[in-house]
Amino acid sequence: MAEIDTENVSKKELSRRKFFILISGTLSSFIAFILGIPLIASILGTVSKVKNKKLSKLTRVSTIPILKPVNLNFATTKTDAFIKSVEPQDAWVIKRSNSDITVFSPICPHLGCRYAWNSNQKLFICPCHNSVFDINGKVISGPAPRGLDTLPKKIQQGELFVLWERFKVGIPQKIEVGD
Amino acid sequence: MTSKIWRWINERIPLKIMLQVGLDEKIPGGASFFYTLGSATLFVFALQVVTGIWQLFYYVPTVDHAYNSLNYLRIFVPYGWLIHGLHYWGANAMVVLVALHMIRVFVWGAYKKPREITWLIGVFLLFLVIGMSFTGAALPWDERGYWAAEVGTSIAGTIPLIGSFLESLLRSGNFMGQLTLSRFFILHTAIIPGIAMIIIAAHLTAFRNFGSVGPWSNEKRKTSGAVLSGQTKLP
Repeated sequence: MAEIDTENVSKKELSRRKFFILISGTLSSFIAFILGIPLIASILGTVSKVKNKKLSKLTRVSTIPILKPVNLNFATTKTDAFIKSVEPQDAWVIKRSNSDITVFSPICPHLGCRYAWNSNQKLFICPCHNSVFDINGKVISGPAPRGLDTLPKKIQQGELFVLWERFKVGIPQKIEVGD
Repeated sequence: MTSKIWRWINERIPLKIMLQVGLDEKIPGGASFFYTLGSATLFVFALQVVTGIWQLFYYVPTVDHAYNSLNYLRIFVPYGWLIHGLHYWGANAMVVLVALHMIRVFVWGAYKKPREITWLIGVFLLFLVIGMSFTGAALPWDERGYWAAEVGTSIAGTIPLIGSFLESLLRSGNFMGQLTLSRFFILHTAIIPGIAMIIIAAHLTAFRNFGSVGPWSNEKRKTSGAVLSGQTKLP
């Protein structure tokens, strides 16, 4: 192959050279762009999360006292990316009859504190900002924008099951917060 | 406008000269695909660095989560399978390219004076590539990786005198465990690549000093052409 002497090459040849440099530069940029897609998508893309929709067992229905709210503990299985873990949770359970049971999330809909049942006043009272709810979860006083959140429940062969869910606090609507 | 920016840049950093060195270098006997193997290896190394760093967004080097975190990357992360696959096959390709590169250099006699040190640095790089292959294979902590590490460290253990010491140094104890994975992880992701980058710089500097050897035929070496000459010359 002949030697390239940039000073002596004709104008025509130089433009051809420029053309090839432009073409290879454009192609390289295009390839770099294509290669960049997976890298960016893997960071920004929606990472599918396994949603936990498994019911947790609370207790036997017959052991729950009538019209006396009880706080019951149960275990939920949580999947955080590739780490599966069991997390303890609790809920307030009110039984009116064996078929009429309400399960309240223990989290105050005002700003996420944990409220408790005051058996003297027969009211749910949140210690953080004094939101007060009656036994049906209705707001009696205080800053809470909505009543207590119920959790989905199921009675199967005399056992009470509950589905653990979290809701957005501080707003009048009950909106579930996904993982 | 572009030429204005181009001039502004070149007054501050000699990009034009760098491009000329890369594209217009005169190679004895002209350009050849045989001379691309070193650059190809360097490209795959860069690919390994990028895909390796990207996997660190998801991989965790613990014995109970290493495999699950990798599976998570491969199954749930968008394009995770591609990033992991590029790294896996890139590693295989790198070993093949290094072998071809060394065969090329050996057959062309490019290791001879004054390029002996370039060759020796290259041999050291070969050991680093083998080291990265060995330590990287263990990281998924699957059957293949675990037993490869078990066998590999056992082989090190058979070396007379220093064997037992070397084996327990690699394993961080007498048996394989969490600390073995930690050691392999840090060797694979920090220590060996870090050394490799410095050694690659030395390899390239040594190579740049003398340039390409060209063909072994004296007749052919009398002519020369640029890297891009074939494409940019009129017929």
